[in-house]
Amino acid sequence: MPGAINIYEETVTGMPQVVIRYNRDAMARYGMNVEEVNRVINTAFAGQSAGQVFEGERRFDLVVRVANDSRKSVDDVRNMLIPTPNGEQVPVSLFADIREEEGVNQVQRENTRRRIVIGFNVSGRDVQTIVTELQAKVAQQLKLPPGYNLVYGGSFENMNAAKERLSIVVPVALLMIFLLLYFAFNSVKQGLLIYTAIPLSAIGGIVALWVRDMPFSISAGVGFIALFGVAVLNGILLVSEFNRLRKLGWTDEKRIVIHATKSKLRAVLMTALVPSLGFIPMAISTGAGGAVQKPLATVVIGGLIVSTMLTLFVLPILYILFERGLKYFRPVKKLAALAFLLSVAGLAKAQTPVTITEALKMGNAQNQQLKAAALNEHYYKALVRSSFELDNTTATYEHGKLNSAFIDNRFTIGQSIQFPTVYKRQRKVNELSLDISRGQTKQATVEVQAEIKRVFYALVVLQQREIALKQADSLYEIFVQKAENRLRLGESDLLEKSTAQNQRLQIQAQLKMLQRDAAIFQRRLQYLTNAPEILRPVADSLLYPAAMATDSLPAETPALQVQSALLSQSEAHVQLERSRLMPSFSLGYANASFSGYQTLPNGTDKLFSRSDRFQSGMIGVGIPVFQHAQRARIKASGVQVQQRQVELDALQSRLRADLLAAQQRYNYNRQLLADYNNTMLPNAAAIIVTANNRLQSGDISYLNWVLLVNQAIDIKSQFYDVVEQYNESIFDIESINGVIR
Amino acid sequence: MPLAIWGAFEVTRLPIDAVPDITDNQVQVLTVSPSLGAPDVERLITFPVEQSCSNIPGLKQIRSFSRFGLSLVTIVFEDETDLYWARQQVAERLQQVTRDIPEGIGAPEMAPVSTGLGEIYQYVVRPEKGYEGKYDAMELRTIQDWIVRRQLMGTPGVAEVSSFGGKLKQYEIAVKPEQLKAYGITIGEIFNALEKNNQNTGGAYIEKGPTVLYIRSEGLTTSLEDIGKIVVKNTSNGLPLLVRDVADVRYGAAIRYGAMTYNADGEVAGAVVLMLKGENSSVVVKRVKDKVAEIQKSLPKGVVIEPFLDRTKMVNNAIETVKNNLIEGALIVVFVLVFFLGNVRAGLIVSSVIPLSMLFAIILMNMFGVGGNLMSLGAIDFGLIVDGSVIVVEAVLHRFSHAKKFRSADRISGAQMDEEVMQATGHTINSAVFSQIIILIVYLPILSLQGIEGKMFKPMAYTIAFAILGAFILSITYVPMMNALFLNKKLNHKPTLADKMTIWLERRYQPLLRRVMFYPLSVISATIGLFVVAVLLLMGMGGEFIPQIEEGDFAVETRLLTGSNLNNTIKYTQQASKILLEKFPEVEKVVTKIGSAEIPTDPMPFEAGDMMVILKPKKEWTSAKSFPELSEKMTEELQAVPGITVGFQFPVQMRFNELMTGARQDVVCKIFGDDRTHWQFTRTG
Repeated sequence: MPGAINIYEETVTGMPQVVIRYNRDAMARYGMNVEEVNRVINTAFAGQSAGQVFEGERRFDLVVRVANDSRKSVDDVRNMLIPTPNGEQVPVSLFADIREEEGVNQVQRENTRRRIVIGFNVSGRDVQTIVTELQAKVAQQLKLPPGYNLVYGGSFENMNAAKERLSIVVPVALLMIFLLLYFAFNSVKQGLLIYTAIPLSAIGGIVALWVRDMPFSISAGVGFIALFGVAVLNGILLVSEFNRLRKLGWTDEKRIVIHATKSKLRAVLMTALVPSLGFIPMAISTGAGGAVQKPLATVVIGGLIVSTMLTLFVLPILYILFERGLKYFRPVKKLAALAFLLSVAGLAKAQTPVTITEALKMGNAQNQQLKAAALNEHYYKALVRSSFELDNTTATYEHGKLNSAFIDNRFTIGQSIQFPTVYKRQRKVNELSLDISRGQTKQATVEVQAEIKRVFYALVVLQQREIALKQADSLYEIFVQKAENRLRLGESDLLEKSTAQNQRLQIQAQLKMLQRDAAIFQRRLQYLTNAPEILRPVADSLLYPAAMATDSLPAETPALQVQSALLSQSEAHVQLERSRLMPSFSLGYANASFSGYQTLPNGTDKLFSRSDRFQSGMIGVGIPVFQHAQRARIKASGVQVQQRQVELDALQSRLRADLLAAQQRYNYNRQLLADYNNTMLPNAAAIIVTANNRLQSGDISYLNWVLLVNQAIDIKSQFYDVVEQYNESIFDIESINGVIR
Repeated sequence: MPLAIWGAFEVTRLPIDAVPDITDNQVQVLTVSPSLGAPDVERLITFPVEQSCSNIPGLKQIRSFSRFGLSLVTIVFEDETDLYWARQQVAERLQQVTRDIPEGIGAPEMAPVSTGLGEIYQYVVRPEKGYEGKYDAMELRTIQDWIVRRQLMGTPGVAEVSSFGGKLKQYEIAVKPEQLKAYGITIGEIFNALEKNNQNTGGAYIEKGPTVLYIRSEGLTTSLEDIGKIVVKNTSNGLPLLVRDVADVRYGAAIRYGAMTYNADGEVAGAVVLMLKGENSSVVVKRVKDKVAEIQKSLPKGVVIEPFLDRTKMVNNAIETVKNNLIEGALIVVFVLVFFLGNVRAGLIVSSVIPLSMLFAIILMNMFGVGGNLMSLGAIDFGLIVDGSVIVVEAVLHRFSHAKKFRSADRISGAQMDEEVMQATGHTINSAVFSQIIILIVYLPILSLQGIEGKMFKPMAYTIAFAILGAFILSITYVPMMNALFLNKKLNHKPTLADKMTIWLERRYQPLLRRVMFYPLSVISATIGLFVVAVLLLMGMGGEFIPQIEEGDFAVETRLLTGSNLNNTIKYTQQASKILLEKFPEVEKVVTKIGSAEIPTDPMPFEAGDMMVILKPKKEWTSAKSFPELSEKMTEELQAVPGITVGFQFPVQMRFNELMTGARQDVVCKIFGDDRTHWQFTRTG
């Protein structure tokens, strides 16, 4: 056994003795009795006091015994003469058997049972490990006869008793701290919050012990108790500051935390540093007896340092967590929103040119709505993993007189499990939820893209309209000048001039309106693409390059996808509810101690302590006997399936109708556009040129000119309307078909 | 002030010892029966004693020990039991038991009222250099018994002086068996003759005229010659047969059960002075020392009393440690306080709470009977004690440096100061009180500890609780008052060194905190992970009861083979002593106690001895740096002595172990059973 030194084995026998066994027959022959013989032997060898001799005050015994040289060997005992009643003297050997034997050396008893002791000291290792090892070895190799038992004692005995008491005292101390905290803060939540300092400080204490290579002793245990008291002080300081700020009306937890930790940093450091520094001399003391306080001081110092560091970081986080709840864990990026606000503020900044493909890409990547949808998808994705949801594992710990009059303890761990198909079907339901959310994301993308396209091409058309209006404006500008000249020259009347001016003002008002619309659309485009600056759409053509317009409805249309997934989900749900009618199972494991004497299978009794563990397992089945509620649930789910089926059919026919309408509009507008391009637009251009020529040549009056020019301008404006309708019809087709670019 | 004076007075009254007394309440019953073997001792003495005492109320455990010539029954009582009452109970029962024990075998007696800490002073009586041949073991023992012991016994606080070693002088009638045979007489006849010829008597008085004359006879023997002349029998030829004709009349020694040796210089006599339970060891030791110095003068020339184990050494060592801890701790705390508060006066005011609360604690310790020792005084952390006062003082300072109305002020009036202090104290009193109550309350459950750990740590919890209570009262009375009186009325708004450091720390801490706040989940899981690791570490950590207290000397348990006689043991332990003295310069002296003392409270057989190795102060050591190292080296060297096994312990620790569990080792396996024939089996198993 390594570490065991100075092994001592109580020597109960091995004491050499001279044993005198009387022969009763022989004694009777000589007429002697045992007492007389005993007395002679006692006097002769041990010596008997025959009184005392005084030397002044000093008193000495007067002792009669056989001379030294005549009490040296066994023979001297044999030859010892004993007077017989008839005056003879006979040697002892005549009536007694005298023999040299090994006899009993000493007898120790404890609580009236005999015991022998084997002991050892411990060096270089701690007592607990050695004893555990020894117990294992003894249990394995040593078989004691019935009626015998083995008990371990020594300082180890005390250790166990002390641990027992500490296991009561420490929880009591903890409970008292908690009660105080509760009374001080009137809140279980905050009490718990401050309480977290205790495990934190325990970390430090344990690590400090470990680093200094010290075993756990009662001294360290007391150190932990003291440590817990100081450790909560820091928490109290911080939490009361949090509360104070909150009372002042602060609401943002982060701000409270930052402010409070700042103002209380010094106080926290001081509360922790002063006691831990005060213990330093004890922790490093090498003086006599210093060893007792070393673990205590080590625990307090290590614990305080670590708990202070952790308190300063962990406590604020826990505070926010306790106040906000679990949503604190979800990363909310406010930075993007902040950037958006900033960019709105800087509206006047330069505009960035962007093509439709770029704009759509930006929208896909940055649109807020899409981001939210993507997160939703993530949420369901994460949820899929929740399908295998076991019931709570129950762990119980019992302590007390469970099995006998001795204090025992028992740990039990139990787990109940549903019938496996339940988990499979739950998974199916969750996966379908994920499908739904994927479809919804797609749908949202389609909608956002359609919106971006609309805004983008509206802007493109507006740009063209602006150019056209500006052209018209310049025409009227010349006309106004001319009219003024002619009026000055007296060639015309006031009517001409006012008409010219009115026309121009009208055009300018249209331009302003158009610019305002453009600004609105630009802002909308920026919002949709979530771009940092104002975008200026650039397109080769006014017309949106159409994707192939299909006349049949493709199955992967997001809206349809979502609806059919909803249907499958309800169906899966029916399955799930059905599978809940299956039996559930439970498994358990128990680990207990049976202190006291227990009979082993081989019939011997053995003393078991609490460190001897007994194990057992259990298994069970739960059958849903009362099913009507579950059956009702299944029925309800079935109704939901029907409802979803109907909804799906309705959606399908609606979409088909919409698609048809959009296609008709598309065809119509395409035809119209061709007409405009082929005849009407060239005609309009020709009208303006001819009208100008004719006016100059004086063939037509200014009134006719105005009429003709306005007609041409109207044609252009109508053309743009058709362009917009054309684009619109393609957007509709694409969004119904779920085309995503 | 009165507190300081009262406290200072109480300091002188505080009983000081090295460690708390952890011995349980016990009464030992000793029966010496020089001629009986172990089985008979058990049967005839131990069993009746155990039997009769087993129904005393409050009994916790009975242990017994039967050996050739000796029975020792230890009756352990619950801690609450009054020891004197318990002794009374035992005494009553012993009277009855005495009747049950066959006559002449021995009478049970109770051991002195003492505890494991009771062996406060041990000494040898030895011849001086140059007188070695002049005094033999018997004379030394006589001197010890009749000069030294007799006088020491009268010292207040001493329960018993238990002689050890030497040879007990007797007048011995060494009968020669051949002579007896030749004259046809028996030992019994000699015995009777001696008994009949050794007495004085009185004949009352006769009146002689106006006076009276008292009559007395002087028949007591006073010398060897007198004894030799006693008539045993008148022989047939009319000549009286004298004692000296059939026996040698001489000085002899009582049959010995123990011996004591000094260094390697042979046998000496000595004794262990046992202190009464509950006495103040430092006081008693001092008295004993004074008395010994006095006795020394009355000793014959060439004989000295030399103490080898003296509790003062251990107490001084322990007190030295305590003193160092406390003073260094206090200095560090004062320094840190001045630094953090950034105000020398404030720091000193808080620091002055330290000695005052200590004095307060000492007053209460005396009231509640808590002794001063390594445990009670050694674990006081002043940092904890001043906590409340710090809060109060800090609040005042904070007011001065942060409140708007003082920002521009350089000086404030006394009245303003009083006002401010009152305000600040009023604000913070709650948190000051609360923090101290928490610390106080944490220590309360420690008071419920029982057994040895209770005896070790309760004094500590009491002392700390008292000190905190004192500091608590001071923090709400004395500290504000001192603040008002002594804080500098000149205000200083310059940032102090501590301010700068705090700001520096803040600059590092705040950004880190902000960053950490974005990863709550990882921080919390990391913390939980750390905690789990720590708990695992703790599980893997070994356990130890209470770390050993280094006492400054070794007690080496030495054993030879069973059945070795006293002379043999003396021979080998002398060899061992010689090795220790020669090889290890740090050994000052070695005193070996072999076998049992006269009052065998610690009965050892002949083959066992305790070598008390007295060491020089640790600073002067050369062979080793620590006690474990030294003991290891010594064990190695001692292997040179054939047939002995040694175990190193500390004296008080060894005594505690013996008294507490009846065994001296750290771990003992006790095998219980009834039939001795099986014992052999278990041994080999």
